[in-house]
Amino acid sequence: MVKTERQRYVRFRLFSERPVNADVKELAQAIWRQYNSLFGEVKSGKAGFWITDYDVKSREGTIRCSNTVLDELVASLTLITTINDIEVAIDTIKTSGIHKKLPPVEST
Amino acid sequence: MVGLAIIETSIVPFRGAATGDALKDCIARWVARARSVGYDGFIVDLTGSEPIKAKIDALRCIESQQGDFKIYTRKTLILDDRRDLKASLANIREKLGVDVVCLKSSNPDVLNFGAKDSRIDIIKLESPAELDAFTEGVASLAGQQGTFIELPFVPFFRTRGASRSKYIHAANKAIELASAKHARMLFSSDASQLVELKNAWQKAVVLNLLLAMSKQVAMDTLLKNPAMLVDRPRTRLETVVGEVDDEETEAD
Repeated sequence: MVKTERQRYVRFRLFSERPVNADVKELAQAIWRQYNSLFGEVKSGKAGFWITDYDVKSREGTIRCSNTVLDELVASLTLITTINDIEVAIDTIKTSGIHKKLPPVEST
Repeated sequence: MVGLAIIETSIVPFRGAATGDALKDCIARWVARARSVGYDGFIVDLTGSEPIKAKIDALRCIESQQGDFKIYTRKTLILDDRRDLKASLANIREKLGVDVVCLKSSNPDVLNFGAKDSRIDIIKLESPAELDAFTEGVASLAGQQGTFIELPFVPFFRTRGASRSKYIHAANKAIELASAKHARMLFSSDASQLVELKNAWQKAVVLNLLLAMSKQVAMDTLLKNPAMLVDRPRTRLETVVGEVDDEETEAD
């Protein structure tokens, strides 16, 4: 039986004590950099995750990834400490296989 | 597992002399952050923040204003000599007034002594020297006496590249020893900044993926063991009261 890859959607929230003006691109770069340093280039090449939505004001967003790399993605998000030289934490809130089942991103 | 309070086993919110409103504000921010990541309580490490008694009183007062959020206290003894440890353990709970007593040492003899002494609740392994000092004997004694073995989460943030790999290797060995000897593990944030406090899910993933701990053991480490740790002084007290009652009955 062939196992098919399934999508997972991870809702996350950026937390920092100081204001951080990170856009989607900077956020994605930080995640890729951390993933690369933890799991190496070979795994990074196969990871294929995507930030589907991100609200800069509420600092909440969703990342789509394959179910096979979900844990690796969460570990990478956990170990990110800075974005634009500002200390941050990325809190994972919820995971779902269906995007619509996640609570909507709060836009303030 | 239903209704189990999720407790963060170590945070270091203040170093030095935070008092009065500054202390209240500081703790309020930590409580808000801990709640937002799903904790029902935390243990404040008071090591190096004198005077301890005043801080404990202030924390008790804050706890009563925070509703159902639990605040516990702990103190870490950093000693490399067994005689010093023996001396400092005498009457330690009354002297310090903290809920949890933790021991940190790079001397296997001291760890051995601490593991079999019921006054020590936790043996903390942070630096490579401390991880090396954690031998099979220490693990076995800790397993028999119910002493918790604690690994901090902070080295994952503060180390990079080769140093992180070395830490992961040493921590893996310690985890293997502890599981083989049935010693209970703790995985604390040890956060001194709000951004270093992570939720239990994220910590479980790190334990499972980077430290090769099974998912079940990781969940026990993060949910069940902290609840048992904060219940330990009460359990110990009940045992002592039970023994006293028995003696009185025999005398009668």
